[in-house]
Amino acid sequence: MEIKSRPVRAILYVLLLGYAVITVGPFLMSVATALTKTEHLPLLFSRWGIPPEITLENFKYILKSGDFGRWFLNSVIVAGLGTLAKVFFNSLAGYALARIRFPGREFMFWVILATMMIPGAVILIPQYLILNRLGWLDTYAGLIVPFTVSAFGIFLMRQFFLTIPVELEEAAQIDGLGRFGIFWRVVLPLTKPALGAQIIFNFLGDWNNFLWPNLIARSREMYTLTVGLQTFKNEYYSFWNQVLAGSMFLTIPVIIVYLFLNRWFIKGITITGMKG
Amino acid sequence: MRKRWVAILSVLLVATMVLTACGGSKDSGQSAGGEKVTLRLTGWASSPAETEILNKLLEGFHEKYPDITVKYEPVNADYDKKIQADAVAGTMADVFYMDVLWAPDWIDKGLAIPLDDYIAAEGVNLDDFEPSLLKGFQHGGKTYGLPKGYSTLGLFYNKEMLEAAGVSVPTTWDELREAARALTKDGVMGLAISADHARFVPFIYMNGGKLFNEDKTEAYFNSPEAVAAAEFYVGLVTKDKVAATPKALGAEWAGDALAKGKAAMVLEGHWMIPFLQEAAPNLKYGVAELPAGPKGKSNFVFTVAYAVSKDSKHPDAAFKLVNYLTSEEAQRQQIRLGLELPSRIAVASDPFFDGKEDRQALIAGVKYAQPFQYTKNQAPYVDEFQKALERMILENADPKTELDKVQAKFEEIMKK
Amino acid sequence: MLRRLRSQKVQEIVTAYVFLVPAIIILGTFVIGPLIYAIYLSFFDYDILSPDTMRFIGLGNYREAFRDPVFIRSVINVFIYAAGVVPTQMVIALILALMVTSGIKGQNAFRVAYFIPTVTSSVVVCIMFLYIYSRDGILNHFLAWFGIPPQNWMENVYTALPSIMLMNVWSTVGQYMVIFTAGLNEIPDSYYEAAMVDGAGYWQRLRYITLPLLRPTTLFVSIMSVIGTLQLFDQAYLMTNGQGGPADSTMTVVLYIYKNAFGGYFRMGYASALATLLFLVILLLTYVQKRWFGEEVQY
Repeated sequence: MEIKSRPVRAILYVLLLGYAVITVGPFLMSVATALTKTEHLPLLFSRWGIPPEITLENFKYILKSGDFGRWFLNSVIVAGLGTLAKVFFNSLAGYALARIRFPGREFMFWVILATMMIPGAVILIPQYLILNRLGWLDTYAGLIVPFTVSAFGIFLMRQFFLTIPVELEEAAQIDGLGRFGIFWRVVLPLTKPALGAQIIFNFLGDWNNFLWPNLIARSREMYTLTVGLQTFKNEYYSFWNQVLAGSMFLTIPVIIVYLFLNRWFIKGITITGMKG
Repeated sequence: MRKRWVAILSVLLVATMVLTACGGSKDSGQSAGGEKVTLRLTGWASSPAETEILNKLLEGFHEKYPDITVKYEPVNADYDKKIQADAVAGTMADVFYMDVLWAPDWIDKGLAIPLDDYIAAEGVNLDDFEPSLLKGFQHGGKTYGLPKGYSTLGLFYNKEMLEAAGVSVPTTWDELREAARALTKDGVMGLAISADHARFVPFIYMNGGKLFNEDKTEAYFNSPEAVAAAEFYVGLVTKDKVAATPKALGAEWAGDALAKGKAAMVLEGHWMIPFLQEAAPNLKYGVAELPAGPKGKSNFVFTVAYAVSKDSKHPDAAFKLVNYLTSEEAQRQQIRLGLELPSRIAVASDPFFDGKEDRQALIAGVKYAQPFQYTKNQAPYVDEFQKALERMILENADPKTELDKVQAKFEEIMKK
Repeated sequence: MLRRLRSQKVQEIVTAYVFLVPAIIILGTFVIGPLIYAIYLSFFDYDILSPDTMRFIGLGNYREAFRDPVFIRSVINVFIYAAGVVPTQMVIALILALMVTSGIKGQNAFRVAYFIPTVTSSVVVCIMFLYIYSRDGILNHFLAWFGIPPQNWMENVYTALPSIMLMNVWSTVGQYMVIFTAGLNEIPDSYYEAAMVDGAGYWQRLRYITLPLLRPTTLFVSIMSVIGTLQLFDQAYLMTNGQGGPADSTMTVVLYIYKNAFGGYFRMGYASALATLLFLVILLLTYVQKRWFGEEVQY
């Protein structure tokens, strides 16, 4: 609904800018604090958040004392491999459910729909016990494998495949392509927007995940960035400027990706609704 | 283009499998023949300096026993959860730190093995250890760990503030309250105290109460002595208004409040000494024994032992390591780091401690201290205890009602 | 010819199941199997560190749950949380969406700015808010301008939970705003034009066109959001060092499950019973949602 009145528009701008300050402000405050020397911390807010002297000490301290490099790498491995596997497997299953006729299809679809309703928190304990049986506690496998398929993702991909005209596939079949060939060369390229949104959201979800790696990663070298940062905050005598400097390792990559791909994010969230 | 994607994807999938396989193999060293042995040692390090000296000690150990190699795997946060997860998975390190608080649970659940045979074989004399420390790791007449060091609580105070207020160092509860009153001014609180059972329990003993009977089948959390102790401790904050929690003073913990000059006195342990050196190098502070209560002195002693795990395939070699790390020469090196006090009585009179009044006050406390320990399955009722203190201090809840809840929880747990 | 057709059909079936194999294995092992296992464990007293003492106790864990004051407190907390957070985030998101879509310039820039909290890790959000809420933090600094004395937001049983709720609103509004924006953009302009011809003002159009058309989305998203808040863990864990304190004032159901299972209580059976109860409540909510919206709701 358009609003034309000029004074009302002016008020709208003020309100919108005000809220932008609320959402972006804490990040600016964090950056400012991360650039401040410990002895200047008490002064910061009375100077409107401008540090008396800008320092990179805190970042140097982080690089020296934490294992942030290793944790960063772990996060990339876990989120990267997990996302690729998930998007691939979800698409495969979604495609079979959307396009191939086979006995048991209705049943499989129903089971997957029902699985979507199982909350992650409820199955935490058995998952842990099963991983223990498999000897996967504190391993990459334990961090990645349980999340390489998601019922919700399968459901979404199935819905997308249903919107693609069957004729294309029939033409490909006549050209002699097998099912996998059709899936890989014809159908998947047509679902690029859906795939893109899924990749972004799954990567983000895995990158930011805390509960699971906090339970499974037990040794320092297996921590992901989220767990490592939380650990760093609680050990030794850490100061706000150091902790906030550490949190930049987690935030800045995401914000950079987000700023470049924000259209995809927005598209993704309208496609997928709640699930991030 | 598409071919390349297939290639990338297959490489990634293979990589997952390889990583999976790598991650899976976490065995300790080869054992066959009993010649070359690799031991894993796990614990936590409170500073990089601690890791350094431990590594130096481990080199010394390897020189003495060339056939035994030690791999040190420190864990910092959530150490107890890591140990429990390893215990479930059957992958515990051979030698591990056992905190006195967790010892009853870990001994009961068989995480640590009894060391008596090895103690006899290596000829270790247990009488050389401070008895109140060793007691925390003994159960049913057996010894499950050798203490590596300890700390008691002390009254840490800001010397300049006390001088300026003309207050002498308090030695009794009444003096503590009056000193705190005189020191509370100009935005400084006399005393910073935490809503923490690890600080409060000694006050019960100072008031003539106790937590348990001899075999720990009964508890007395809500005894009149305990309630009166709570009234005094909590009252410093709620009634007398001469103390506050560290967070209320804008500090992360009590030590931080002293370092930042927001409190004049705190009740903390030996860990304050390295902390203050780093966080407030110019602060002039003193340490005194905890002020005595109506029924005398008491204290809590925090200690950690080296223990040998149920999963160790070389318990005899593992004990050699325990013995080496708790030996007199090792402790004489470690005390110079200033991180903890020595568990061996002989080392407490090392010339290093001459003239160090701060440490002397903490050493004095160990003679009448209780170990910082409850019973097995303590977590649920100790949590309740912790929450009771939070409610008393932060919500002004009634001490008797709150301690009744702790007692009820204890009885519920013990009935199971 | 016929044989060829049949073999083709068999091949199709085989292909379908090959495509489904990863999903069947992973979902079976890590989602469906665990659910059954959780229900099974809930009837046992099971200490993970001494597995030999595992014993069947029937409904004992469930009986205990209904008498356990901490569990009851955690249930009350999550309902307070949902009741406070969900309407607030919806209303703010809707207002922002209406403002952003009112034809002003820079629509996209605002959307980008509002969405940033949503992409940020809960660990980082919690660290920033612990800093904001600390005694010397910016919130107290700001309130001092209005003569309000400094508070210990996270160390006060009355303010700790609302503080976490406020943080959650902050971090989720952007997401809902984007959903609402999409919903608003789908309402055809012709509806509004027709209403304007009839002389309807802004508020009338809002009331009789926009809100009724957004209603299905809103209700659906609200129930999803309630289901999400019932499972609150990260923020309560991170803001209180895993304690749910002070004095259980921020204890949530999942945090309590976590504490019982992994936090030193060693009570896997009891924790599984609590998890099963949580599952039943969520199932009920899902059922209500399905009854209200049928199948027509698109994701």
